[in-house]
Amino acid sequence: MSAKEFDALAVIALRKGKFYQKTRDTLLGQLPPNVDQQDVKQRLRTAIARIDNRLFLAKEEQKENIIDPTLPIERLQLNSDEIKKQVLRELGIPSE
Amino acid sequence: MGESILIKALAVGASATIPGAGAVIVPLYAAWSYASIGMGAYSLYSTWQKNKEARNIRLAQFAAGVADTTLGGSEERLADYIVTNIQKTGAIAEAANETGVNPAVYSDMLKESVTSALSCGFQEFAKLSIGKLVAA
Repeated sequence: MSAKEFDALAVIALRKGKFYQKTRDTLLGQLPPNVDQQDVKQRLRTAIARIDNRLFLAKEEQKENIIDPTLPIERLQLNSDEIKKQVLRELGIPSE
Repeated sequence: MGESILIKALAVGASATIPGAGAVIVPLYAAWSYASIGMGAYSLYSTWQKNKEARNIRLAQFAAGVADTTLGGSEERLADYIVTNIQKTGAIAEAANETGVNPAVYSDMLKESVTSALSCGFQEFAKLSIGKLVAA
């Protein structure tokens, strides 16, 4: 295990953070007023933090084995189906 | 929380669309300090792995300061130790400030990501390297 592997994790964690903030902002704007927003935020945050790290690598990065830290999350072409599945599982919500 | 609302929000989070008016535009990840975070994490990890005695002392100190029930296995404890100590250097706050991610959010994401990687034995990242280093 080397420093570069921790470098990769630092980039992936940042991407998860961006993804969380984007998802959270969308979600909170749609929640009914009687929902505990703090609880929702915390649960969502934990669920997204636990998503498989590899899902936050672009296909090109996986192919080339090189992470581009300048790549914005909008251009990662995330696997939304698998992310959705993992988040729902973490939240204890059965998926279809 | 409503499942359909959540699924829509996740889809937006993963989408390629650029945030609309009023939303925060995600900047390119400029020369933020992931390298110092990576090096710091590796240094802490190496020390932890190499020095069993020191590790046990730190574990005891850590357990004295934090309720042990909040933590799970050894990977989680090690990840918590790494991230807590990197936080003290200010590197996480610096990276967060440069990229618009809340420092507490970033810390949580890093902690869980490191825990997961430790649990997997890091095989998933053995071949990865970092590409473009961009000047600020």
